[in-house]
Amino acid sequence: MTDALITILVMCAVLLVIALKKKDGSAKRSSFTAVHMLINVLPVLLIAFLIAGLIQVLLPSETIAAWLGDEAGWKGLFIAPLAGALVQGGPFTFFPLFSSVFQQSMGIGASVAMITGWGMINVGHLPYEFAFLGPRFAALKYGICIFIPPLAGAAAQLLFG
Amino acid sequence: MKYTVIIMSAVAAVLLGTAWFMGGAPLMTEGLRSGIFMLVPIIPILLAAFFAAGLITELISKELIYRWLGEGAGWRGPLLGTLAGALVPGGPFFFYPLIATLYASGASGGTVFSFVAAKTLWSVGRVPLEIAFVGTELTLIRLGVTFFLPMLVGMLVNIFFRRFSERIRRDVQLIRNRRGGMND
Repeated sequence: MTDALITILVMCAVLLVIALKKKDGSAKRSSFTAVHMLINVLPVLLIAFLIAGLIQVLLPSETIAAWLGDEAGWKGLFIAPLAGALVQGGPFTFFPLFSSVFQQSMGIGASVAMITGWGMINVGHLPYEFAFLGPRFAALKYGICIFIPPLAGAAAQLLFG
Repeated sequence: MKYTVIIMSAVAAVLLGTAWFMGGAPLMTEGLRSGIFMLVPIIPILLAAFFAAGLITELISKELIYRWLGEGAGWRGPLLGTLAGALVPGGPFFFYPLIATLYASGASGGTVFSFVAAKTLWSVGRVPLEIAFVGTELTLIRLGVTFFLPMLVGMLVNIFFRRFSERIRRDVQLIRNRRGGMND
């Protein structure tokens, strides 16, 4: 928890220096942007934590471990991204849910596969892809990207597991 | 955003109902409490993450992206697409119209697909949040093992799907014409 706070504060400091060096008021504007984003996202965030809390109580960690934990083996690398791909509501929903419900019961490989699957093959993107780029784009994107989460998970498991 | 709130409220309501059904009021309160206990310790990190995201949003402009990726990107397309995709902030309602514009204005298929891959895989604006919840180590591992993938995706498209990519470009142009060019 502390290492995360330090990492982010360092990021803030570096970015702030860049913004201040530009001398065009972008440092000031970014605080407004941040507050604006926070206010916009606050309802989603609160509901997301409510959902995460309820799922934590309702879904026993043994069940998750059996499907996605180390004992699930390679199977987890394929199930995890599919589960991730179904989670809607953006990073403010996914990350709290992931860290509170799944992370403890999952290995490194399945974790990487799930986060990657949530981002890359999220079903919530389909309407946008169809609306702005058409069905051929969606077909090619999912055709290629569907392989990436299990591959990334396997690499993470082999190298760092 | 409104739509998201409605859907999520519905999901929360269903879960609340399930908790009620399975364990009555005690289980419901336990769920609520565990949600609050998750939220409270993360608040300082969350505030810092929002500040970082605000800075990133302010520093990377749409104009910068267009200047990088326009017609002239050439063979560097997948590399530049990857960089831009990783850096550009905003959700799907923002970046899909953006890449449709890129496609229509002549960016190569490889550029566009590298952009989408990097955006959905990394998205720098999201990284503070990922670190906040998931931790620095797992985030770094994930970024490390996927480092070359977006470029690879773009190169794959440029080499094996060139003709298909041109058909996608025609799709995009058709969609834009149908809307009377109101996507910009």
